[in-house]
Amino acid sequence: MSAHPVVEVARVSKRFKLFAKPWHRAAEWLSLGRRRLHDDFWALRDISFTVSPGECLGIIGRNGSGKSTLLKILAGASQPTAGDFAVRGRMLALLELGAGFSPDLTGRQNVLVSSELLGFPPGYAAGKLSDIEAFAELGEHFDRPVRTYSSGMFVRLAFSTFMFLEPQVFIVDEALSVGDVFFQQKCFDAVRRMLERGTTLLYVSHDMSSVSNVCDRVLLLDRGEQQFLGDPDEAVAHYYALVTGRAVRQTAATVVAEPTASEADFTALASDVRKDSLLSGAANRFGGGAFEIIAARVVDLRGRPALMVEALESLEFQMLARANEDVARPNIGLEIYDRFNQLVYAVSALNLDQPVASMMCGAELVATFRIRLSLQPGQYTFVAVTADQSGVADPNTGVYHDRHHKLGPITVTWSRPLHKFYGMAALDTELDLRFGGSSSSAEPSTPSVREARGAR
Amino acid sequence: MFRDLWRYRRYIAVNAVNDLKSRHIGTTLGWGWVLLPSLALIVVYSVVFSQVMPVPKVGLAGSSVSFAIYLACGLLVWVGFSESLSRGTQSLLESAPYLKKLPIRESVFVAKSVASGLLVLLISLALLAVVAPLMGHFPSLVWFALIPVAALLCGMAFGMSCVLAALNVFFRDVGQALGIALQIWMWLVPVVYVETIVPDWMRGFFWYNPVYPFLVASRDIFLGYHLPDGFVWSAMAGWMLLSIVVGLSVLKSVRGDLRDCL
Repeated sequence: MSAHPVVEVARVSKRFKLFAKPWHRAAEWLSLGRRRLHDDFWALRDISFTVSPGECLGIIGRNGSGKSTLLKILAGASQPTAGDFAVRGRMLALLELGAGFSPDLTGRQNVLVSSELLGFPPGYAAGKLSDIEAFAELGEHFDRPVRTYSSGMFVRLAFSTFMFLEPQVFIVDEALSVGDVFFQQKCFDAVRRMLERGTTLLYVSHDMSSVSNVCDRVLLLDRGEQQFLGDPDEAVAHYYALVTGRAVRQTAATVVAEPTASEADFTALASDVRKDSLLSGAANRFGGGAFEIIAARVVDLRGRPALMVEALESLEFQMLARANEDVARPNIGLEIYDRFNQLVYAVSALNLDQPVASMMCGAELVATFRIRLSLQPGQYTFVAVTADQSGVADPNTGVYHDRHHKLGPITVTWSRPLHKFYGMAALDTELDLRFGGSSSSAEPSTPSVREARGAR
Repeated sequence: MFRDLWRYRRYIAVNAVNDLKSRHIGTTLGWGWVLLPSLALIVVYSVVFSQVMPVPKVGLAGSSVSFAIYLACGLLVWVGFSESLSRGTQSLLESAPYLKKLPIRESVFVAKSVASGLLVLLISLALLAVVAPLMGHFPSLVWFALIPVAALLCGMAFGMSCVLAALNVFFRDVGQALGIALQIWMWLVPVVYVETIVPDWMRGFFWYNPVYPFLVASRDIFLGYHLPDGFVWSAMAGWMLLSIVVGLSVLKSVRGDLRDCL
């Protein structure tokens, strides 16, 4: 692109010294370098990239991959151990919304003070106050101390301030996923306008759909190393490979299991479920365990363990449960959560009108839920759950016997260029088009096109 | 380093005031709480040493003043110094949220805390100037010379705070130990006693104590109505410069690790 990149990073590395005890640091100082009492942790190794004016670079990676450390270094809040970097032009790093706000100043005062704190010349923000006030939609609260604000109001004030300071380089760390949905949408619009104005943007996010939407190029970090730099879609694919690579390795030893759930093969099926089980142990487990979940796995329609699925296609969730005492009205089900930990869908045998018959102590059950994942691409986790509905009047409540949280993650992918739908989930849709007038080229006998979609 | 301090001078000033304000926000007296401790100190000592257990006047180069006034002057200067130092020592830890996110020099935050200490010192000295006539000690224009003395004192506190604040980030014990050290330190200089009670051979050592010239200077000005001599001025300036140079170079050398430990 341009000959003069706005951001230049050359072989930047960052090491943290880890001391087992605080006084080890003092001992090391006093020994004048003759003793070494710390362990090195390399949060970043040899990171190099450049960003051209007006470009949007996304930075993605798993937790602990070094994204935040990299941003801190670029923002000047941390020093690299090795390597050089340069940022040309007025830079604003949005590592945390409202960093630099003091609670006792009013919104108006905070805008002025923090803009100076962020390195803008005095009086710079004064001319933009009315814009900021309007965008933040705070009304009379704009002149009240920030400590009286709700968290939503705080975020609106902070974001508006940053928006209107018009930096040439803008670094955003996960900050756009704040506020209510209307404000979020407003923020994304504002970011797009900034990009159109030629602002250079460095954008860190876990939200892959927004990364591939907004960014021109994407840098993928893993364990402090630069894994990939280039096309956003390719980077996102690499990211998902990394994320699921972990899960795939866990279940890689499995033999292809026949997907039959015939009662004769119950023992074989149960042992397959056991073998591929995703249950992670006690840490994420809750409940009494009278109706215990022993194992749970996810397989594709050919019965192979899978944690990845194309949107609108199906996976089978299999759970092996055992009654450790007599259970009068057992129920078994699962819950699917999105990356915001919002419950997307929960279903149980009872909901599906297939109530489980009472189970004697020692009886086992394999429940297979075949679910079509009509969900937008992204990562989801699921909860496997058993319950007892006896003695409860309300059919929607019950007593949990066993809950295993944070299973998965299940990655819903998208490989086709044209999305089949936009939004969180596909809803059953039928379309009817009827043409009128002479311009229609359709045959008069079949004026309608029907498309049906849904879980069939 | 100094460029950064200059660049953020407005931030330092505004926040030094706000620090004081916010400390007393929500209280009925508000700013009154900045004045009250100093006022109480002055009143208590003057009542104790004039009514409860009268102490003879303190002789000072020809004139003499009541012991209460002598004590109040020395104590307010000492309290101003020790407050600035302890606030300065905590400053980096307190400002961790900013340091972790913003590319601003550490020294700016130390300066902010020490500046609020300077403010308290100036306010309490002004209060003393107002109350002194009631105790028979009349004001003079010379008293304005206390302002540069207070500024030099806080400059020194700034330098020392840079060292202590940096250490306090790595070893949180420093802040705790400082309180005890300050108590001992107070007795190593003639704050609450008259230096004539100390044997002659020990008095020479006072000059190695950084706070001593400031006590001498403020008593010369406030009690003796005359400017301190050149030696005292250069002692104050010398201690201040030394501590600032050491302080800033310590901050500079630990910069790389400092923010990682917050």
